[in-house]
Amino acid sequence: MSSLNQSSRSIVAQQATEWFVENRSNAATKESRVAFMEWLRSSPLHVEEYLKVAGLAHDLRAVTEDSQFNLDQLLAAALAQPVDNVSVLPTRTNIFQNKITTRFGRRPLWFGAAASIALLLTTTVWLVRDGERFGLPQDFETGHGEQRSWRLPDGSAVNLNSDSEVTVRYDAQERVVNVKRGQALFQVAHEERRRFRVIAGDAQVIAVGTQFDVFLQEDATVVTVVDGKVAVFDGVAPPATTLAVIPADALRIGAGEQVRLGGDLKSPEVLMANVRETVAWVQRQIVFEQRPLHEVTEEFNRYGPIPIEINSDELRSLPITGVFNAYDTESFLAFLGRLEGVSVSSTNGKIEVTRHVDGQVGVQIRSE
Amino acid sequence: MSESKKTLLERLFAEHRGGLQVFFQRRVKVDAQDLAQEVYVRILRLNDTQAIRNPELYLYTVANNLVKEHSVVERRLNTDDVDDFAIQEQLAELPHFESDIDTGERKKRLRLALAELSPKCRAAVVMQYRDGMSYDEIGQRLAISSNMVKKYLTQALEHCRRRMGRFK
Repeated sequence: MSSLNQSSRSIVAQQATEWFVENRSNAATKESRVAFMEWLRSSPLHVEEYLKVAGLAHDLRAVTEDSQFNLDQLLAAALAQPVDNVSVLPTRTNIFQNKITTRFGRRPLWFGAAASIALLLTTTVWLVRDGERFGLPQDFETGHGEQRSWRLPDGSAVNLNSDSEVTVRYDAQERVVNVKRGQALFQVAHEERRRFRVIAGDAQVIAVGTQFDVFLQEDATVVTVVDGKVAVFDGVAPPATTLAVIPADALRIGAGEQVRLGGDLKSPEVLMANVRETVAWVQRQIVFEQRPLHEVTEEFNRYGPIPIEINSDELRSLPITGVFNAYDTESFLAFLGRLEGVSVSSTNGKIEVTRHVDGQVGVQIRSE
Repeated sequence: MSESKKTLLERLFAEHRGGLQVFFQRRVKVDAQDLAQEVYVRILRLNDTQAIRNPELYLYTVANNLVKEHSVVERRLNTDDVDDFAIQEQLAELPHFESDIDTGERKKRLRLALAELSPKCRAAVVMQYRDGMSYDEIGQRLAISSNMVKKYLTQALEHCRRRMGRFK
């Protein structure tokens, strides 16, 4: 790339650095991802410089991990630093950049097209945000075997598991998500003024800034907290106050805890959760530790195209431990087929798992 | 301390880092410019860019696959006379001598560059890249806005990049 002069390259490097930092921000929106993709696609030089920044950050991680920096000492030094001392070491590029304030304004003319697209997108973001502020509901939905995640206008993120649906409605007082079916994992951006409330069946959850999973099952709602704290209500939550304060009498559950509401339970019971197991679906994995086979099978039936049926009570309660790919029903069936005295057959649009009554040892896989 | 501070997504990302790790360790063996060119062509071939939910991860995946392809070709060319599979495995595990020296030198230079940063910049770098804290968390610890955190990190990366010279 010798034909490119050094200043063009350093401008691209600067942009690559800004994108790299921006891509790690919680506020990164779908629009900014699209704009980033456009930026990458507009020149191989962009790709090259971005990969270099990523490599640099990777090396920085290695170096900072090696060097035993003490965070308390670093923070003490940082807080002692005068507030106005922002620049590192004055260089030509820095002086040039100081005149310009916005990210897009820093681009030279040959980025005009990309910049105007980005500007248009930014405008759209604001329109969307205002739409949210006026309390217009928005639906998010996944089909069978599909998983998706969305970044909401406040920076919160919602991940939906297979066959799930939520309605999101933001207004000036609160952010409300209604889980209509399925399972959702929330990563909530903290806001002083608006609380984040999730409605799932008869249960309600209020979070301030946290991550938690809500699974609306047929007869119950299971709430699992990954990070932070939430308040759970078996019924309707009290009205929103101006501050996102959790009522004192609420049932609070913290990180690593799980609560099951509804069904035949008289009062909600707080249990220690296997968080890894609960949120493994985000990685499209199914994790089981000593779970009865019928539960494991139900999990697979949430993703797979052909339902699996267990035709033996003894097998249904067989404890299973393992990590499976949610979309790889075949390897799960192969695993079952390898168990002693178990046979797997596929007939009439369903897969049947049966036990040999004659105690025959071995694998028997029949297909139609 | 950092583990609980990391967001779930970061933790998931960290668990998937294996593939990326390989890419970043091998990248010195492949010419960066050629690699970027090939990655770029593959990204251009994408019809529906909106379907890519994480462009950055996509970029790394493409780059990583290319590096893998390169090293497979390289190994085939270099190991024709080594038939024993176990020996080949061992050869693949051994660090490349030149890149090893390169890595050592790069780290030394980076340490110097880190030492030149302002205390706030350095603290932000450690909290972001070592401890995986979010910009909001870093901002709280440093009593600054998350936008200022971004500014500090951008400056730090820029400074290190300039200091790395031929290693960048």
